[in-house]
Amino acid sequence: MAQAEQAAAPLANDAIGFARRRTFGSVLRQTGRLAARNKLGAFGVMLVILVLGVAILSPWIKRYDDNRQFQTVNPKFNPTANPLDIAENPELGSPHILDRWESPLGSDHWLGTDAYGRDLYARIVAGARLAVIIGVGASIIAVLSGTLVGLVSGYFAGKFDLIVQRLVDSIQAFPGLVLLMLIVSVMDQPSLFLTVLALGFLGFAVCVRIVRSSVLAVSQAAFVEAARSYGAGDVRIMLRHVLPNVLASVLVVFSISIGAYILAEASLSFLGLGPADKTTWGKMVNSGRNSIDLHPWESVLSGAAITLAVLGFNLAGDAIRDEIDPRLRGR
Amino acid sequence: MRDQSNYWTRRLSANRLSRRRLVGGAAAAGMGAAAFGLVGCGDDDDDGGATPTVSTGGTTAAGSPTAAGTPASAIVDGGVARSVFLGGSQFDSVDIHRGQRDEIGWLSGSVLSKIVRFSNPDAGDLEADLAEKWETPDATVFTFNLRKGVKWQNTPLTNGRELTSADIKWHIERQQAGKLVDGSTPKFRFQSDYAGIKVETPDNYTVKMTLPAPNGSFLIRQAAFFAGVPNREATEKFEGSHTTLTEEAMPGTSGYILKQWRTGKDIVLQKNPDYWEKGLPHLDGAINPWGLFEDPNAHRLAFEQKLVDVWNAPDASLTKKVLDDNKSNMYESLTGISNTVLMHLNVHKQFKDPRLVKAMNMAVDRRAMIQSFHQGLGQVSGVVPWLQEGFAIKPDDLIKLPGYRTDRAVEIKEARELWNAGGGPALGEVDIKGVETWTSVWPDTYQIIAKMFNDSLGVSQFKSTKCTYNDDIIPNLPKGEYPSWIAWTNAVNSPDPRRDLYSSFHSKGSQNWSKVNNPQLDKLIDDALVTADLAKARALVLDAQKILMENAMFGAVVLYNYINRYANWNFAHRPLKTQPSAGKAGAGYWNTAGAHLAFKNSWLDPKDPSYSDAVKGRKLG
Repeated sequence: MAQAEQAAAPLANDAIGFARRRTFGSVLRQTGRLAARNKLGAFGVMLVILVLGVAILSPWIKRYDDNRQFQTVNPKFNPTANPLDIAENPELGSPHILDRWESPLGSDHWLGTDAYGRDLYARIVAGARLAVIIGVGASIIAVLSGTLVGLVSGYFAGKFDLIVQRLVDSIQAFPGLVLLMLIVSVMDQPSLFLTVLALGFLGFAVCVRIVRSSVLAVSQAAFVEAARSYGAGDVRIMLRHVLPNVLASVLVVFSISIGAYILAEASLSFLGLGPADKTTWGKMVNSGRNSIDLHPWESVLSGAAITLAVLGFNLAGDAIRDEIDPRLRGR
Repeated sequence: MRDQSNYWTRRLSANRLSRRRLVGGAAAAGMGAAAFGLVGCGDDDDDGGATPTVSTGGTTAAGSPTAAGTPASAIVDGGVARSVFLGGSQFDSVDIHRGQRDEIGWLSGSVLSKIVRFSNPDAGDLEADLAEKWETPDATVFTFNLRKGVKWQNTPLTNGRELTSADIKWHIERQQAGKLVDGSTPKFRFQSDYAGIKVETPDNYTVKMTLPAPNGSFLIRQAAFFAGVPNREATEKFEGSHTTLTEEAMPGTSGYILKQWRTGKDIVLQKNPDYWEKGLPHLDGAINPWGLFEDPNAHRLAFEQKLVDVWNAPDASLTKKVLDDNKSNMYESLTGISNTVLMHLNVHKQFKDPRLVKAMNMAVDRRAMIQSFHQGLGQVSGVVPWLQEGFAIKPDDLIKLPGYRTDRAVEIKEARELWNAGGGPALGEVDIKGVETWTSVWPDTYQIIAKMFNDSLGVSQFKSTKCTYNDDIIPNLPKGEYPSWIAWTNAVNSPDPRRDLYSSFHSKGSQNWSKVNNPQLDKLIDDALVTADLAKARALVLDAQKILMENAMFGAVVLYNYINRYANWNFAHRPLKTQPSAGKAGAGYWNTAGAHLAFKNSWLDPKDPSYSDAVKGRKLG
């Protein structure tokens, strides 16, 4: 039976595993050809590599603790100063003066400092780590849960499928950000884990839809019928024959949605609903906008970081989809 | 340096303080007032205190209102002021006796009259309000002669009836009993202040209060924050739904009546046509937009578009920049209202060991917080803040105490020793929460606070997450299950700290959430309250503070007080203690208990170039 199954199973996931049997040189050549064919995709991949690199290396390259407040000793400090004198001259009351709003390109602070005297470069680098954790984490949750439910729903079809799809409909009926805000607001504390979970939940519905539609198509294929005729059980068919054939779609969903999650998290953090105890780009945009006319750098730089990361993941996701889908390849 | 002597210091040094000034005029801090040189001195009665005295209120005679610094003839009546309600819009009750949050105290100040009120809340000078005059034949008896013809706002519940002595009796006795009509006994914020007082009403306009013992701060309590006299019919009707906002729950007798008080809607105050002080308020009304305070940028935009008349940024240097860019149209004012920053540790749960509380008191870097959140505009405070300077520990002494020393290395070393000795590391995760009203203005608080404690104590167990007063703190205070938190509070609600010390740290205090039970401290506070000798009272309060400071305030750790810098449009005249002059900011009051000063001194000048059609077109709705 195993032999029959093996014979029935197509080599459909060659797009994922094509490099496995290649040499390093041939992979490089292949990559070069892909880059030449899809320049935007190559740019996206480069951005993704950059973001991932910064995120992974964050502890080593951020130079300072992202919450360290830089300050300068204040020779004018008078610990017993009358508060009314302090009102006229705030320097009197503080032993240290924070190095607030330093401009970019300084020797100590490459991208300047924020309102609390914290290094903006360190914070953007720390934010990259959070963005990647949240983007990838939410994507994994959405893809794992969505694939599982979509696979079962599409494979069994019937009433079960009907119920699942109506549930998915109801989730998708809400505007994404509104639903996200609702979920996060209900949570006691929007920690990093809960934020990832909430974003993953939001992506779950999309993933269910896509996986289910692929499963519906694959379930009708001859090799599935063949496996069934040889007595394979439902679980075995789903895992050994259907799932490998929908993985390409899953991969595309996974890669494209990372950017969307990063953007959604930035929106949440901007609104004060993100993980409060972490440095996030969205929170930086919000923090900086209080003084954006005087000190635009915090908002501009963190906003640029969000843009580049989302752009990178979207372009890379598009490129993966183009390469996997023969109809789009070469367009 | 400025002369740091204040009203009371000067009087004490001259040894001319009369008992009447203490009992009738109350004790005062007046720190800010003194430095601004505008302390309201009233009369200079220097006689002894043995003779029964009569005080008549009204340093500003009724019918001749004058806005501070403005000739009466220049004041223009009419118009609608708009400003953001300080502290957000998160009321926890419509019942002023039961409200724990400061917001109802603020709002009621404009709507409810008090028995007496401050003519200068910083100095503690009193004037008549509902009581036209009062007598203190001895230290335990107060006889108030009520003003005739004070009408409740005409609503179906009040029918516009006259306020009488029965209203005052009910106001005192309800708080004393702490009981609702249905017999239940919820928490009454100032219950302990009224313990043992006997109230008699010989006629409709006379109230005689007999205290169980002399109480040097009794009269000032009647003028302080949360002392407004509410309407009985309305209060009792809404007892069962006291957390739902409705203007019907607070019919007033003061300068304004509440036209709208609904969750999510503008708070609308309308001039009370029946207000006893003729000619006041100058404004037709005032609108407090709901919730703008939570978004500093929306607040700024609203100010720049003249949707509100006054604004302050979380970043005081930004306010300064805006002021500098608009010198011809705006003026600066500095004030310190509602600005006590407090760290409240739960001593019933994680911080049971006093060593941990002491460690936290040293681990918290007060001056760094002032620098981070207020750009240096503030000064560290002991348990009695510097706003109440007459009673506060002197700065020279304060900086020698743990938690206030300038040598952070020493503080950190001792804090770590105590933290380890008290079993701090074994506590696991410690969450010092940031209250939402604070963190919405300074969202970076979570990270800054957690890092401060982790760095100071050499651990990584601290985090900071959000909480709200209404959901997480207030309902859990009586049960002792509240979280540990940092936020601002209105710890200073009169110039005299004695009642607050009693309320917060006396074993019978109604806000003694840490359940402090220290007989020595009780005796000091009791003695301070009953004495008519101000110097003795100050000495006793200082002794009480020694115990409190040695114990890191039993978890209710006062951190500092800061100064707010406001930008005001020139057309909007506000209740300032000193008006702005060339190159100098105007000075507001430090204390919170003078809402009537707002309607006395607030007016809009249509002739000012900054006045615009947007301001002219405001309607009360």
